[in-house]
Amino acid sequence: MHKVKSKSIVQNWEPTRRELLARWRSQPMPRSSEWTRVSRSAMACQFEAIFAPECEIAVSVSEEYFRVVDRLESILSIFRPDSEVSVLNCLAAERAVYVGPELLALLELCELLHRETGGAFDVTSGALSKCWGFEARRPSIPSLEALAVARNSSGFHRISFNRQGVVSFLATGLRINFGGIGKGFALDQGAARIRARGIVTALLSAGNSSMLALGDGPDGHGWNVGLRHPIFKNQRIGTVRLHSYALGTSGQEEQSIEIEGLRYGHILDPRSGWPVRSVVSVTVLAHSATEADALATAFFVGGKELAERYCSAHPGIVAIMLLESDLSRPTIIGSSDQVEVNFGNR
Amino acid sequence: MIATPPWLHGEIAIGSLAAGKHVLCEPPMATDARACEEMISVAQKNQRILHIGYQQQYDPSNWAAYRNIMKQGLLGDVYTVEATHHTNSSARLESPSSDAKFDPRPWGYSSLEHLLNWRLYQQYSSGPMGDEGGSIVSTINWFLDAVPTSVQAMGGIYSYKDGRDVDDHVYATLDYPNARTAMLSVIQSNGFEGSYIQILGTKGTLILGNGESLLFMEERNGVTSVSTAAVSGSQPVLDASATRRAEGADHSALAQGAAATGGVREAFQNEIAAFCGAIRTGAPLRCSLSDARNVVLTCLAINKALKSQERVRPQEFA
Repeated sequence: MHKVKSKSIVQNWEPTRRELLARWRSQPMPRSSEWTRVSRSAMACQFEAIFAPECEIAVSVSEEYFRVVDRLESILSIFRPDSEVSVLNCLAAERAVYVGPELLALLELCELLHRETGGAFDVTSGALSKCWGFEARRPSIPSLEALAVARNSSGFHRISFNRQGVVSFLATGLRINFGGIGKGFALDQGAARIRARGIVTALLSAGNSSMLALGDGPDGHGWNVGLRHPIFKNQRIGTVRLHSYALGTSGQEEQSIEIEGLRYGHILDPRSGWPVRSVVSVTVLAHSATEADALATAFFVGGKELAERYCSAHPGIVAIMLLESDLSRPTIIGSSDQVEVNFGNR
Repeated sequence: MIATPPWLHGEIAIGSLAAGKHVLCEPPMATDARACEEMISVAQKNQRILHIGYQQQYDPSNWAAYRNIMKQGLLGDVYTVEATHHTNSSARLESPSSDAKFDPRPWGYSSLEHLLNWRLYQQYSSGPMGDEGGSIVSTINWFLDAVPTSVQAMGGIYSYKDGRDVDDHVYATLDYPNARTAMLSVIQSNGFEGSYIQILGTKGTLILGNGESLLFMEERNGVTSVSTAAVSGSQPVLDASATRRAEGADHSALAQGAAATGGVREAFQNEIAAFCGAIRTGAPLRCSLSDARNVVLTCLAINKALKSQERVRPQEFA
């Protein structure tokens, strides 16, 4: 009985040759699903942009975008001796230096973020980074004397600047390094150029640590971005969907140093001068890539307490933190209508 | 679908079209102009689709470069194209001993060696210009939106004096309207540069590769890479992590939501899908019969120029 029933179901469901042919003929032509991917090296990482199939100006608009990034790199890079920041780092302790509008705008933003994060975000810790050997990518534990000297050459309160762009350093050896915010700033500035050309759908990435989503993604449910596990690199801690939103990730994968049997990453707490250990990675979702980039660094330094305090005071900011105390379960802080966080899809 | 040696393309295509079949034929279209004209004529008369499979136009990365770079004028004024198809191989196949008794004469081949190595004999093929050279010419014609007005060529059998009668080295110069010149080399003694087409403009240089195009702008350093991806909403498009340095960039490790789509395999699949789509809906195909015939005329002109050492006009063969 059961057998007969199964057979009749199969017969009922099996399409005839005629039906198959009719189905085949009625299928619409497949719509092009070829998205254009444009990439270029800048700021020591890969800048990448993904544009929708119907966008025929993907490359020309990317060239404009990359020109913006190149220009900002020529201003912000500490690895170029002729950059505006290098000149500033070289001269501003001796005399006042005029800076251009981009650098001034960034300094003003950094000052605000420094204040709002209780000093956890600080672009003036270049001397500390140099002292620990992270700048030269040869980390080593500094002597306490060297660390004390570096701490005296760090701190945002040791910069003086005004709205005319006149900048002075109040300590010798002070060095600004925009590594924790520069890529996000470049994404935002470049995205403005992309939007101005009428493009509403794209995903921009700088070194995979800063991303900016334009529009709602290929299926209208938000751009789907994975969060790679910082230790188990072939796994994810989760995924996020971004609706015209930005993402910034900080982690200690790139460089590390071992102190008394414990491994520390390259991100330093500007307040103590020592590497941070309690946080393994932080992803921040925010309205702008600049903000997301900087806050990821700040929360890495300031930990869960700072993230909770900041997110409750700034609705729309979301932090996804993987703490040293629990590598299997990320902590999510804050919420936004423009993002969806999913820890089930890994 | 016709995937025989080129000397049979015309006969099989014409017979198939006359029998009411749609035909997808591997390039070159045929080995002479008369067969090309007849194929077109029979296809039109029987209202059947005939398509010549220059699949380069179905490679998404080529299409992205054409649409986003060439048509947008990013290269400025183009006067020069350089193209190579370089290998270090005789292209000769050895016959397995198990087939020693097989008699290929009923199928038009004087020996098994000729059947296996039809590429090496003019009576079955158009030589390297009809084969790899033709694909390159087809792509250059497409990007320049033109056909050559005259060609010059030199070459010969330099490396492999093994009884073949087609050249293993061909260097051709193709003149296009508006002072544009393409230089093409198809050689079998060195594979260093492989196969690529390089389009040189006053503002930039475009290099078409396999699955990825590179754009060098004259005004600044560095290279922009252009490729294509099938972006899915259900899978992550990228994976966020701490900053990945330029030399360590890796799109593929986890993210599957933006799978790379360029390259030869993708091109073949797209071409066959487009051919089926054209049968079903009448949608136009990317390489017209006129385009395919013009490639054959150009290759015939290059082959003549190789012998005569003179400038030859492809239209002589029309």
